[in-house]
Amino acid sequence: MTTVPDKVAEGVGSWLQRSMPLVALMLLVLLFSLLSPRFLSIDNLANIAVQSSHIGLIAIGMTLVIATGGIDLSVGSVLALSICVAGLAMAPADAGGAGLSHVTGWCIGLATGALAGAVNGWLISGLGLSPFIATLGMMSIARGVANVLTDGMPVEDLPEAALALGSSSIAGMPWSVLLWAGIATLGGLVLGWTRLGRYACAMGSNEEALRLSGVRIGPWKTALYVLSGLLSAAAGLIFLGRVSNAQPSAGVGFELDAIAAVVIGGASLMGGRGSMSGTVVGVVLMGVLRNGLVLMDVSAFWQQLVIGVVVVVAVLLDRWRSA
Amino acid sequence: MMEAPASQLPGVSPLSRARLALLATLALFGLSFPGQMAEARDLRIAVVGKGIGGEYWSAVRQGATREGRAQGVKVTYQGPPTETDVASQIAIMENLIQSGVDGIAVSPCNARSLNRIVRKALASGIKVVTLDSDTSDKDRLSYVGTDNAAAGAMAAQQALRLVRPGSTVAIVTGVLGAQNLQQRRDGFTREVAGRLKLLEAQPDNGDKARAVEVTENILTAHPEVALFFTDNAISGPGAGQAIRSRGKAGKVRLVSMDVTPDLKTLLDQGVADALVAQRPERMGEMAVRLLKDAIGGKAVPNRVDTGVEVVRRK
Repeated sequence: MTTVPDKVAEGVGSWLQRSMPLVALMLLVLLFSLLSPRFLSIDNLANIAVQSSHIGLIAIGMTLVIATGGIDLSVGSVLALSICVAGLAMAPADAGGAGLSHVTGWCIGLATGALAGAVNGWLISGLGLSPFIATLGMMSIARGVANVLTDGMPVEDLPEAALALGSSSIAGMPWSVLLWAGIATLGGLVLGWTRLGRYACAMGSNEEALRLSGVRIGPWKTALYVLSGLLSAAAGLIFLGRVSNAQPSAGVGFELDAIAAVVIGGASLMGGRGSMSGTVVGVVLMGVLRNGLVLMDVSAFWQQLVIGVVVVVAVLLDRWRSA
Repeated sequence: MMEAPASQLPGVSPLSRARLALLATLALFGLSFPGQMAEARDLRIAVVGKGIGGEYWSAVRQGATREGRAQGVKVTYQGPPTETDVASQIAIMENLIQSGVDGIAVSPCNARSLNRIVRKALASGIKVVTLDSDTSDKDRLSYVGTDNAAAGAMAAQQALRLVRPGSTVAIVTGVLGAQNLQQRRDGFTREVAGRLKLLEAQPDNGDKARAVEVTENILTAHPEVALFFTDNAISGPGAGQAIRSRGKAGKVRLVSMDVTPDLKTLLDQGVADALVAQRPERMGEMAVRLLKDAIGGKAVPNRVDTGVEVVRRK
């Protein structure tokens, strides 16, 4: 016999399980607003959103890939390659560029990211490499190509318009945050409501069953890695505006931030499960941590420690949740 | 631990940010007296390095912290996880502006990328100096660091002393875009022009393991190399390690910028021949002192050369 209080407790319990990352984020926000009077200002919240937006975009693609039980370690290098190619396309001729318009340059950058993703997809579903190995290879290849193209030097003198996505706002809203919000919503729809999203989760929980039900897995999986590459390039266009030049050394370690955000958000690295809203919360949570710790005058060493602990706790919670 | 969130569930729904703010305000009210009095008294200065690990940045941090204690200023050290992570460094600067610090000493990971955020900090009333390397627009109050071209020339004089004229010299550098390293290489190159043969500088991107690889590759590809010049405290130990493991110690010479414990060991072991020492501790110290002066309304010099010294094996 279940009584009404039991049912309520059960309901609260399952809500809590699903919303664990959000609850953690809320507690953190509460803690920081108690400890620093400046934390909860509009300026500061906007600041956190802008800072998180490029990792936010990468993490959307990462969520889709991780849902399949895969991983994309190449995102940071693909970001660097995409902005270097875009930078060379947009920089004026006397600075060694092609002098194309900024929109053309952006499109070339996005195409570069998508192409790198397509190569990842082909290595994985065409040649049967494990996602870890294939994208580890791409991580080095994309970085190498970026360094070769730019001779290891940042591409400078980009037109001001080329930096808009990372440095300007429309009606008080930063472009980067709008892009992130829009694409995260789209990503959520793709994951929850489209065949691509359903197949992604199905690949992660039982790829063989999906194959036996007559689905040709290769093209679908490749599409997911193309999306991941494309989103890395889009993140790069924001990044470009943040740092004002296209650096071949950009994005080192971004894969780890993105993976951590996805895991904090409740996805399983074994695949089969992922939540776009959870990922957004995971990205914001890391942004809030980095911001709040600086606001509290916590030095850099402790920040590393705290962020590491949060990732481990998130994975432990994940195990507890799926047990 | 699971109990607490459950009991707060109705209060912390995603839509009740206003309520959250109210809670925060109430709590602040309770805490306000000691907190705000401390804020009014203590000046807060942040030192933002290019990285957080390594002896060099530790020395900067120690110099800054010690001077902070002497001056009665609260000093915190911040830095991106890697020396190429400009975006993180900019984010740290943004967070510091939000936190309302009184002064920032920053060592830009990239000379151009930091221009905008330095101007933003100045515009919001924060005193800013650059430390160890400068921004390209130089619109900070002061630059505290080594005269890098002079330091490079000093290293070149050591190289000329160690090898025969016409010998081949390889350079291992950190990050190719970093202005201070560029100036050191330029100073070195000018000094040896026409007297030594230089190979193209190879970057290790601030990674010691990569510096080992790069040096090994150069030793393989160019067996005629007589001397390595490493322009920073990470490339130096990496190159030294590779020279030693190839059994070339004493045969292939090594002149490095900076003096760190591992470079000193290499010097004692006969792997390194001369070290051109910057004075990172003094940079941290001077940066805090200048910021304190600037916050107090005093005029500060546009540049402060913290000097170098040559350390050789006894």
